[in-house]
Amino acid sequence: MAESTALETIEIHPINFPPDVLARISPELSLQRHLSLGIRPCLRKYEEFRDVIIENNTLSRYVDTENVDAKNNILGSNVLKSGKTIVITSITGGIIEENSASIKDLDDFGEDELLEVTKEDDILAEYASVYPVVEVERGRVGACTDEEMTISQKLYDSILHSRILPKKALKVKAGIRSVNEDGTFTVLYPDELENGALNGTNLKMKRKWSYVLYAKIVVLSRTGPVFDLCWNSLMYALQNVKLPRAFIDERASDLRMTIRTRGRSATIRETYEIICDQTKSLPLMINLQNIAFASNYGVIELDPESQLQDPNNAEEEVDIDMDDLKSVLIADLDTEAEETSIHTTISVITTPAGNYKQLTLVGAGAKITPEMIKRSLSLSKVRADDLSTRLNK
Amino acid sequence: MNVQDRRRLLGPAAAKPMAFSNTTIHTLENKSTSALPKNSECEQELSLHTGFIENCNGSALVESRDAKHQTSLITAVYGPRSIRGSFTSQGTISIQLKNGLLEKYNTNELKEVSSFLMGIFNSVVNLSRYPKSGIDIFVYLTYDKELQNKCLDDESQSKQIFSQISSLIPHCITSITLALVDAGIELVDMAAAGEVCGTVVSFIKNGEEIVGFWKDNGDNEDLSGCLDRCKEQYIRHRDLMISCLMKQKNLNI
Repeated sequence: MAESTALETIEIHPINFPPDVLARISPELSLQRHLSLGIRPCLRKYEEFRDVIIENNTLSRYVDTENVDAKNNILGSNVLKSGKTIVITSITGGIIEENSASIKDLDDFGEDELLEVTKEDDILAEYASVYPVVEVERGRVGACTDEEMTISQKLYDSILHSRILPKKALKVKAGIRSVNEDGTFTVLYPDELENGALNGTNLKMKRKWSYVLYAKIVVLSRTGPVFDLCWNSLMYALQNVKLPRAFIDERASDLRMTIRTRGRSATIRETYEIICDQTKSLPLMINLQNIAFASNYGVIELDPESQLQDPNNAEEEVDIDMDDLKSVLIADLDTEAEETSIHTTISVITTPAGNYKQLTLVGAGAKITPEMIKRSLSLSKVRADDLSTRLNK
Repeated sequence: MNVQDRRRLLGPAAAKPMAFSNTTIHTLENKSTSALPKNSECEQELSLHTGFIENCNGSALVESRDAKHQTSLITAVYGPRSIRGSFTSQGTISIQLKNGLLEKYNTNELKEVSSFLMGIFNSVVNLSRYPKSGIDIFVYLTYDKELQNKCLDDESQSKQIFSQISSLIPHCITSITLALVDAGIELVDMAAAGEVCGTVVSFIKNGEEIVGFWKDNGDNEDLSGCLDRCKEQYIRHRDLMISCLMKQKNLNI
């Protein structure tokens, strides 16, 4: 008897959660509720971007042009703060000796046909990229996460294909250090002399070097997808990179000796270090017209069931056409709720002039309409234009 | 050593890091040292912030600047979070020190400092309140640069770096304490420390109790005098921390 009466008297009490608890329990529902009010959980409008605060070159060795920081090896830097996320990018460099035997120099190079095929590759071969290492701080130690690896690779590829960094700009115009009679050193750079003491032929070196750029990108306080922020920060940092001048010792400029082993003769070239100048530097000549900025968008269908309704006229809106789902474009995804529930994304990299460098569409769930693509492209252009002006401030 | 980390894009293996010459710096050095004021003992400027990192439980930023060098470090506290494995009656603390932008200190030095800090905070955090949980603390040395451009020979340079890492320790302690408070983790008392010539003494309870003692090979024979100076710095750091936290609290209300 007792059991049956207990069953009969069961009542379902609606449970109320405060908004922040609901957001943890059901991010999807919380997001839909917000969207039905015309805002997002971060209280931005659908197409509103986060503000970006940047600080350029404050960490580099060339901050103070008068007084170069000797122990600092950062060539260019940027700190970008967007919403609550902080991205710190620092660019360091290395030097690599180029292989003198490039394909073009070989005598037995194939036919013209092959040349045609490789021509497309060749255009890309004129450009270089930076080697980014992205670290997203999330309180763990150990191996890098998938996200870090994916972002690093995407940054590398995007810079290469955007043709921002010509290989020509990374060539080392090496100088020669010579010891004067009184024991002091002087460094001569071929492009600084104008018919001076040394002419071009004296300084002609057989070996060539080029700079390699590394970018360390640290993301603190990650709240949402971070590729855009990393890319934009890297763009700012690249624009203020200064390459140190490098030189080698005079006596080592073209030293070779012939040796003979087992009847074969070979030449051994002296190995020597290429050293960077403490104070002198040249700005990195990047293709400024190709500097592009990234922005991302998400598409989500508004769920009519989780709409917040006005209690006064709730009766009238019972008839909802379930087939006619309205989807909206959301700009600059942030917060956990948006990241976990919006799977359809559009990501664009464009120059302020509207020269589109990259477009990625991921369709998962909500439908991407041509209008949305158009809208996101035009928004990206406006955004890139806005971001590009920040550098000059 | 042909082993490269394939998970990261580290660039061509043949590339060498940039080596900057030492010979051209001498003229520069003279200029910079003469330009700087002589009063190297002048007051340190400290700036403290808490709670600016979103994806952790507590965070703090400590920036200090004096005539000699400028330091900035970020601390993030994750936890208390559950640990795997068998039951533990007390919480465990782990502290990771990370080289920031300037890869200045080697891992051994950082490990040594982090184990020293772990010793301090094992006695400062009320660990019995957190059974079966871990508190992970990450200290990120964003930058630490010398304002005086000194060119030293190798021997004195290594000494210099050694004394530098000890000068960082008080700031590490300040920022970890602040971040722990920001994370709402129960402490016995606010820990802070002072540093004199490579000797670091960390106190709690108004300087009545010493929780950590670090000594580098500096010529610092007068131990009691050194203690007093460290205590002065401790009181200054502690008062700053408290006023910072009170201000933050008033802002939140």
